[in-house]
Amino acid sequence: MKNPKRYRRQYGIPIFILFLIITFVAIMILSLLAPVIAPVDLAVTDLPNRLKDPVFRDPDSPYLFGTDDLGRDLAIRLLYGTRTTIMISFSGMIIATAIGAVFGIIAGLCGGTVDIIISFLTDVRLSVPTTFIGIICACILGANSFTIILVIALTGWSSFCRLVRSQIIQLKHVKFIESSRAIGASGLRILFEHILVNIASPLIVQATMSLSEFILLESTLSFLGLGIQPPNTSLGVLVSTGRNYMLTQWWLAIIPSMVIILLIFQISLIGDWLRDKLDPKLQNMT
Amino acid sequence: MNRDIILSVSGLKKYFPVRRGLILQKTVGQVKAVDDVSFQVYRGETLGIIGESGCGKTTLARMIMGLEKQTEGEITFLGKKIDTEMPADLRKKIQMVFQDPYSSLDPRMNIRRIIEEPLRVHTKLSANEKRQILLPLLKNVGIDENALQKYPHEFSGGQRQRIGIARALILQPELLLCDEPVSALDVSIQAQILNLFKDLEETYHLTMIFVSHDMSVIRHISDRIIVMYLGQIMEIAPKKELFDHTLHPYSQALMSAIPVADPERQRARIPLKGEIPSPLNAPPGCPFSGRCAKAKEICHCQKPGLRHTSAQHYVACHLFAEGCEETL
Amino acid sequence: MKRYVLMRVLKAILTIWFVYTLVFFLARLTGDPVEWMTAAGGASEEAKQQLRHNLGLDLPLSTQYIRSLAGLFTGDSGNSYYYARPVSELFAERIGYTLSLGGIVFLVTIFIGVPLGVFAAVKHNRPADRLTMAVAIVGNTMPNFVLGILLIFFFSLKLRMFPSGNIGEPLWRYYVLPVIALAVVPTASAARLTRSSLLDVVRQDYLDSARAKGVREWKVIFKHGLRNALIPVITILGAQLSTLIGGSVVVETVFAWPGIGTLIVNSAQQRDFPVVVFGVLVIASSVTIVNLLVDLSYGLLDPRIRDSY
Repeated sequence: MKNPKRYRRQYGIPIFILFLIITFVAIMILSLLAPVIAPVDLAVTDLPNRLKDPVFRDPDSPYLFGTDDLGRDLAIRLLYGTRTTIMISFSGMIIATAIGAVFGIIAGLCGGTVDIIISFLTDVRLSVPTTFIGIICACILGANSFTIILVIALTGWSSFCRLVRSQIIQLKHVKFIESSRAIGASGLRILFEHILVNIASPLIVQATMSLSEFILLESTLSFLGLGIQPPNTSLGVLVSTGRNYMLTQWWLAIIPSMVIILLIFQISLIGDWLRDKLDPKLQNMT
Repeated sequence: MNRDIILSVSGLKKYFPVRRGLILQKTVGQVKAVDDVSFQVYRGETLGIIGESGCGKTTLARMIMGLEKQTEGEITFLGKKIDTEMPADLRKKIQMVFQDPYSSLDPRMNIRRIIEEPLRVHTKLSANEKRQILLPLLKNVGIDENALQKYPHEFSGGQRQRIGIARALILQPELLLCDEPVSALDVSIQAQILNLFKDLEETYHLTMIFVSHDMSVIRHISDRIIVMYLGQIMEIAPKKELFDHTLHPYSQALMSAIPVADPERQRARIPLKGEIPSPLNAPPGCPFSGRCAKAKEICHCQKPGLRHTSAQHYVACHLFAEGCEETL
Repeated sequence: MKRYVLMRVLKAILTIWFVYTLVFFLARLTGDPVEWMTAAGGASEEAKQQLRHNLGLDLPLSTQYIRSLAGLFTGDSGNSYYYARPVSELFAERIGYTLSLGGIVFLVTIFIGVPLGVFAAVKHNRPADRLTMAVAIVGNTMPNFVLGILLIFFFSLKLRMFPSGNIGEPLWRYYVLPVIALAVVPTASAARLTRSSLLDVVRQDYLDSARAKGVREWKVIFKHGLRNALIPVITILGAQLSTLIGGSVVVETVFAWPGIGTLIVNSAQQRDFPVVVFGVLVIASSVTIVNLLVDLSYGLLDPRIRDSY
């Protein structure tokens, strides 16, 4: 690390991005370990200690970020809230990517009627704004974490499907695929050894980028009261409850808002960098 | 020469339908990419197929490789009829080198995996056994052993084509089909790769079909030459015979286009008039009749059959119709 | 071309119908609305039965579906369970607020976002450009509701400049914060798009010839570049309408705005199906129709697309 320029060239990661990745991973680990770090029951309230000041207002306060309207430590709730948000958006992302990839592969490889039907479904999905799909699902299935994961899957798959479909249609006529066919490789082998490997990096970039959308979707739905229900918490729930105390305890809403902004920024900047990094066209140039 | 027939093509046709319309598509015509082509490939020889772009030579190669299904006709390889559903044991014995060394190698695979892919598809060899096959092959095609972990984009065009050749040779095929393997390369590199083909032909006793649009390339590499025009064979002859007694007017035009290294020697160029007619509405008679300086009336209305004029020389032209029996 | 238009219109109608049908059946199949409505009260079985009869929920599902579909064509959108009034009336009362909000946001996008993009393009790679783009990138990723909360905190609670929500007199002051909260994302993306699209156009040869004649740089950009650069911008903004509508629901909720967004969110919380289903129909139709118009106008403008059909 004596020569940062050389370090950068060697590992190909700019210091700033490295910093983003490290902080993001740190936030993830911290929040996933929330039950270990602070084993509390989220439903337990402590009314005598409600709305206590945070450290930056009262240096003697035992609560880093103060307490909420039911006397619960905001720092701990923040940890648990981030945990819920991250877990939900990650599981949603994995499901959405899987569904989208499978549909895209089917549409791209089969073509014809199957392709038309799948394209129609993506059109249908895009005709209803994401937030509305969330509202409908919450209305029909009730507001809980599974509904949000379902909403993420339902809204997220179409962009993956379009990406994979267009990639496959491009790849189908690429010479190295033909070359493998000429060797006598089976369709499945070509799919796994060549096609999937070649669409993996755009898919990873898209998945990373979409993660910030899904975090936004989760917190929006929870904020609207259509997602995570108290006493469980997520970043959206924290903002939503905090907003009732904005005049006096502004930090209750502002701190979780900042966490949301921070997460979304980190992810989109990391995603941007990944896109440039994994683009084989740019790679060939260096 | 050993007259053992390794591949035989008879009456091969490939018509592409031309469709119009959005949902209910109507077939409004056909492109006759390959139209009634017959020839044989003998063991040990290098058969050059020459023609301008769009003459159907690539489609012909793709059909032989089983990448495209023929509309009509038969391809017989090692005594068995083949089409797109080729059994694995036959597929192993016919391999192909592609035109574009840039797009024909998977950019996400390293060189080792690219060259070994045919082994993975057709055999269950251990890593060590694969290495035993790979190392001498690498030496023969001129790839450095240390390059195996690199990726295609780290190589130049000529090196990539060597990789493509190694990949096609690793199964020790009986027949190697080369579709314009040097046309995407710089001229200086072309010569290296052509010489490599010549060396490999000796080392591996290869039988090759070599497709190109470049007469000088074909002359350098081939034992026998097929001249194609608009999906049909115009002339077949051994190289020397073709160059000494060029019969077909189209072949003569192609010959005259070869650059001559001797500035003292002047050769009469026969320029080709006009464009290749669209294969969509090919003339009813000889496909070349529209551009042929010696065309007679019959050339425009009747298609000439392929007749042989001497032992191994076949030509499809009305000018040589007298006294020759129609064959093939 | 006729055929292209016809196909696109048919597809749009099919899309809207499919969305409506899907939502209708999902809503009916996943629970009895009467149970939800009476969950708190403990109503008797007869009362529930009576309620079902009144709402037409005792009929076979297919009859309900055909009735509601037929109702749409005769202007009968059914009654809200919660308000016990025709859904169309509820929408008619509120749609003005939503449309006026959206209209102002659209104007802001065009008259602030596009000039910002032009400004950045003119100052290409200079600090002013970098700063504008940094702000635009921040604005583009800023979640709507977080932005709303921040705006309320600073401008309403701290500075007391604007009211924090709902509507009152003078009306314009109530529009300021919701418009900002909603307009930041489309304005930022309009600025980014205009800039990149303009820079693409500016690099074309025919503009070099203008420069060679001695035309000044800003004049090159305005007179020759902008008109050509705006076509892709408008197209992409049209396609972003869906995001804008989704965002307006959230912003309306944050600012207790009496528009259809708030109505739909509240109805969803109360499982007031007729309102939600009708709302989805309205939203899906408007998104589909705008996309259709954008597609068709693109087809009209671009001869390459026109000729391929």
